[in-house]
Amino acid sequence: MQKNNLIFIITLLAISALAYYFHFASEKTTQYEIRVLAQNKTYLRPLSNRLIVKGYLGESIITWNMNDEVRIEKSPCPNQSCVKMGLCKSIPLICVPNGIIINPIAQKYDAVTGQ
Amino acid sequence: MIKQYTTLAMLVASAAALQIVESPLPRFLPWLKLGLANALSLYALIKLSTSSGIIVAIFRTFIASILLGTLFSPVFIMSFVGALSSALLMGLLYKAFSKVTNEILSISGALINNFSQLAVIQIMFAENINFMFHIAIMIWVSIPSGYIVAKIVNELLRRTADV
Amino acid sequence: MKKTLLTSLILIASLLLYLHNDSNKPISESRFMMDTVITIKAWPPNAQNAINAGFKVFDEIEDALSFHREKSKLSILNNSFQTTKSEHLNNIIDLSLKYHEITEGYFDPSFAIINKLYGFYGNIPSQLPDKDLIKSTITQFTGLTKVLSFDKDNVYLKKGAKIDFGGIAGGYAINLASQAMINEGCQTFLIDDAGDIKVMGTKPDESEWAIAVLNPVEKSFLATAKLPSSMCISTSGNYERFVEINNKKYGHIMNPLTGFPAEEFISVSVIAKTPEEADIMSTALFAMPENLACKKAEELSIPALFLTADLRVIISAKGNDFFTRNSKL
Repeated sequence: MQKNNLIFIITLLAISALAYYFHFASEKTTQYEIRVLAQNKTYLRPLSNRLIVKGYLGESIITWNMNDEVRIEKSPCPNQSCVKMGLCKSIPLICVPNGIIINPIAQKYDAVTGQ
Repeated sequence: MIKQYTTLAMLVASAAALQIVESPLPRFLPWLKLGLANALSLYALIKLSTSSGIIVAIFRTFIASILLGTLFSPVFIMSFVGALSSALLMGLLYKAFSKVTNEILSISGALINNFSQLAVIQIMFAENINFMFHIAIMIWVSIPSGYIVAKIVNELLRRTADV
Repeated sequence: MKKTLLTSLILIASLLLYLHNDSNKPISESRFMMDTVITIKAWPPNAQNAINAGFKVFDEIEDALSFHREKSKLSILNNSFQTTKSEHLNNIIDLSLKYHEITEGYFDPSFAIINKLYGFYGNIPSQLPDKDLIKSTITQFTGLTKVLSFDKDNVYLKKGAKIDFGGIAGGYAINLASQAMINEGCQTFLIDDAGDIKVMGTKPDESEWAIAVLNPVEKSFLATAKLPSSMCISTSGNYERFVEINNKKYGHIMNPLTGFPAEEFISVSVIAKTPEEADIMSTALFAMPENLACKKAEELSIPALFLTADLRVIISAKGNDFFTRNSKL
């Protein structure tokens, strides 16, 4: 491997490690915001751990498991790439065709009222 | 002249084909992919000219999305912006630094490709995406994929050295 | 070259370890009590002891004031219409009488008898209760001041009346639990009794307390409430406790004038200095007609957020200091 390549890669890895650290330095979250573009609405994770939302193409089913990981269980989108992504935690899940964004939110709310 | 056009057309065609083949493959995140089509932009950039690399990037996203039926959809905008910005950055680096290697070019191209697609999502959906985490993930994905792409380009250049 | 790689990796690893700091992390615990899930989150010092002390208070209040526990003081009063005075019962009756007056009768624990007609507490009728029956029950058996009487040692309830402190017991328990937690030496905590929330102290990162206010029916996100230390928020709605008669849902908060479930709002959130006040005022405002509720909120300068049945959001003048609407809507 050439010297320049190695220096370049090490620099990138260092940046990556720092970015990763800053991400996880913030408190881990079990709260999620679900944006539904078709309705222009934002939902929070429901107590029932199962949310059905109507996007551009139809109903998407979003579920959470015991470990607070989220996944899109069913989606009307053609390529199903959001369903294939499987369980996620701390990563936004996005279904572009159906206009659904599931965003983990860190420390934004201490509690929820009106649940 | 005609020979150059023919080469360019062939590159655009194969790049579009690669992009179509790659699109149904499973991926970790919507904006993270191997980016094999990028190899042909880079090849055009080195073998022909900077503008050729950009032309390959623009045309291949158009053709691929026409064939995939996603023209002017959010998916198309993401891949168009990604491919264009990566071709622009690779061209710029190639012109600015004489010592730059193909690996560095292709890894930076892959990075800026992923990053600008993420930026498109941020702008289009006005979402507060956790950039720190994505930068970390992107680097991990871009290094191997950029490296593979660079190896492919090196091999292509070696085999077509006398063309 | 390998040395460079190794050195940089070790450097990064030690940097991360150095920056990583595990103290000052809060602990939280949820228990099923008082017919709902209660969550207490506490930050060091003495977090675990304080949480235990907090739940002990909830247990104690449930023993004394639960409508459903047969041996509670309240059940004895409801069943034999007479019981001896006790600290918790006295406190909660005093509070109820105070707020019964402030809310012009819209907060009325004696409305349990009307709820019983609708089939809350079991035996859901197949038809809506008769209007005349409701009217006569209201005149005979409701009105907190009319049905309760006292002598030196005893509390008496008018025969046939029923009292349910569900609209205040939670707030009262939160208040006592937070005192118990402070006595244990814990300074920063949050008590959440199914949406009745009290926050206390300042978090280590000094960020403001933020409570998300949801639309309870479709779970969409309405607003954020920023609370200063030792403030409380409570949301009332007819969405959690209801009966179904002829395939129509009837909520548990009644309009005391008509004896019919209040239907003007989907939910009402109120911020107050004490959890009792937040709990009671959100219930009382929910029972009122819209214009009276808004007028009352301004008059008493209550920070309130109303979600009306036709999905409008109204924030009282004082409420603008605390509530921020979800900008993405």
